[in-house]
Amino acid sequence: MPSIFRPFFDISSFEPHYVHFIDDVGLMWFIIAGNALTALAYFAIPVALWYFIRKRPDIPFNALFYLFSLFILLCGTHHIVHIATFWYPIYYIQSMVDFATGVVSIITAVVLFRTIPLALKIPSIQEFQEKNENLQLQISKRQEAEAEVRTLNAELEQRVKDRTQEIEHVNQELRESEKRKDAFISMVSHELKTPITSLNGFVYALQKEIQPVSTLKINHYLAKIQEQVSKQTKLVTDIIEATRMDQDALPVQKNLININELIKNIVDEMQLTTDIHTIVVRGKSTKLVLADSEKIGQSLSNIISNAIKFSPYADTIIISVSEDPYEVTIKVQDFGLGIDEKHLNKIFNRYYRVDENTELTYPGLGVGLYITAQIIQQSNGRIWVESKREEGSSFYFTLPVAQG
Amino acid sequence: MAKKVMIIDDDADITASLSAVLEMEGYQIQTAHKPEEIFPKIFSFNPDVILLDYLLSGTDGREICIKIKSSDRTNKIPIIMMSAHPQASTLINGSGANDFIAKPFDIDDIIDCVGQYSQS
Repeated sequence: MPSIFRPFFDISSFEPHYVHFIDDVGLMWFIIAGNALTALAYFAIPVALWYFIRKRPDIPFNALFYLFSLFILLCGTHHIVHIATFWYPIYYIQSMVDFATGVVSIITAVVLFRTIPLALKIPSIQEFQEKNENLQLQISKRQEAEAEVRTLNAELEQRVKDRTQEIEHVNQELRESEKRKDAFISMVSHELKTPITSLNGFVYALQKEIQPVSTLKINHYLAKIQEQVSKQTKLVTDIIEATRMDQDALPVQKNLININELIKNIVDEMQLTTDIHTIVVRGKSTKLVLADSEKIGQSLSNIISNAIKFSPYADTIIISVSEDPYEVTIKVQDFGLGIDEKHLNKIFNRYYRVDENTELTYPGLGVGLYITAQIIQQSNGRIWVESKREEGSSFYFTLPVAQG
Repeated sequence: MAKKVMIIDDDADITASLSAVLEMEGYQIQTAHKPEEIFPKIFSFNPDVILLDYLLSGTDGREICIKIKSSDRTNKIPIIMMSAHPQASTLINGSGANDFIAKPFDIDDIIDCVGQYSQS
C-alpha cells in the first residue's frame, strides 16, 4: 500500500467501539441493527430515485433528484462505516465519508432552497386537471361544431346537386324547345316559299296578259306587287338561312377571288338602290383572298344596305380596302345615325334589332348582320364595328389572304 | 313545232302559275302531280324538257329523276330540278339532273333555263 494512504487505514492508535459495550452487548447490537436498517433504506432509496429520474428525464429539477440520490447514498455509507467502527476503528475513513456527506448535503440544501420558489409555480394537479377538463370540453364542443358543419355541408352539396339537376333538366327542355322552334320556323319559311313561287308566276302572267290594254296605273301596281313579292322572298330566305346557321353550318365554298372586282360589282349594284348616296371605293388589294365569292358578296351587300338604310340624311358611303401579308381588311363607313354603345357587342346576334325611339322605323328581322357575321367567321375572317351616335358607323371585316 | 314542257310538282298552284307563264312563251305544257302519273304521262306526252320538284309530297323527287334517267326511253330528256331548299343544288349530285333552280325563282330565270334546255 502506498505510504500516503497508510494513515487512513492506521487503526492501531484507536479503540473500536465494542469496548464501550462490554457490559451491555445487547444495546450494542440494537444500535447496530438500527444503523443496518437505515443503511439498507439509504441504499435502496437512491436506486429508486435514480430509476425514476432515468425513466422520466422530462421532470424539471432533475438535478435535485441526482443530488438527493448522492446525498442519501453517502448517508447510507456513513451508517455502514459506523457499524464497521464497532470492530474496526477506521475513524479516518469515517471522517472523510462524513465530510463528503456534509458537503453534498449542503449543496443539496442550497439547490433545494433555490428550487422551491420555482417549484411552487408549478400548477397543482388539480389545476392541471381542471385545465385538462376545460380543454376536453372545448375539444368536444369543437367536434360538435365540426360535425354540424359537415352535416350542413353535406346538405348543401345535396341541394346543389338537386339544383344542378333541375337546371340541367330545364336546360335540356330549353334546348329541345329551341330545336322545335327552329324546326318550326324552318318549316314555316319553307312553306311560305311555295305560294311566293306561284305568286311570281301569276303576276308575270298577268303583266303579260294585260300588256295590250295596260294603263300606267296598272303597270305601276303590278310593279309594286312584284316589289313586295321580292321583299317577301328575301325575308323568307333570310329567316331560313338564319335558322339553319345554328343547325348545320352553311357550306362556304372557298375559291381564290379578286376582292377588288367583287367590291366593284357589289358597289355598282348597291349604287342603283340609292339616289341620295354616293358610294366611293378607296384602296385596292394586291392579293387574292380565299373566300366564297357569293357569300362575301352577300355580306358586303348587307353591310352597304345597312349603311344606306341608316344614313338617310347623309350623302356618302366610303369603302376602304387595306391589307397586310395575312389578311385584307374592308371597311364600310357611313355618316348616318350611328349606333349607341350599348348595342355594339350585341349587334351581330341573331334576331337582334336596334330599337330606338326614332320617328323612322327600320324594317328588318335582325338576321342580316347575324348571317353576315357567320359567313365572315366561317371564312376565317373577323368582323367588328365602330360607331358614334349622330356621326356614323364603320363596319370592318377581314378575309384571309390566299397563301402560297 | 312548239316545244313541250312537263311540269311535275304536287302543288297545283305552282304548276298552274308555271303553266300560265310558259304557255305565254309559246310552250306546250303537261303537268303531273302524283308519282304514279309521271311515267305514263311522259310516254304519252313526250316532253322536250321536264321540270321536276325535289320534294314530291314525301316521295323522293331525286329517286324519280334517277329512274327517268335510267330508262332508255326517257333518259335523253333534260331534267331541271326545282326546290325550296337552297342546299338542294348539292343534293342533286348523282341524281342525273341536268340543272337546278331554287324556289321561289325569278320568272325570267326559269324562262331562260327552259329555253336553254329545250333547244337540245
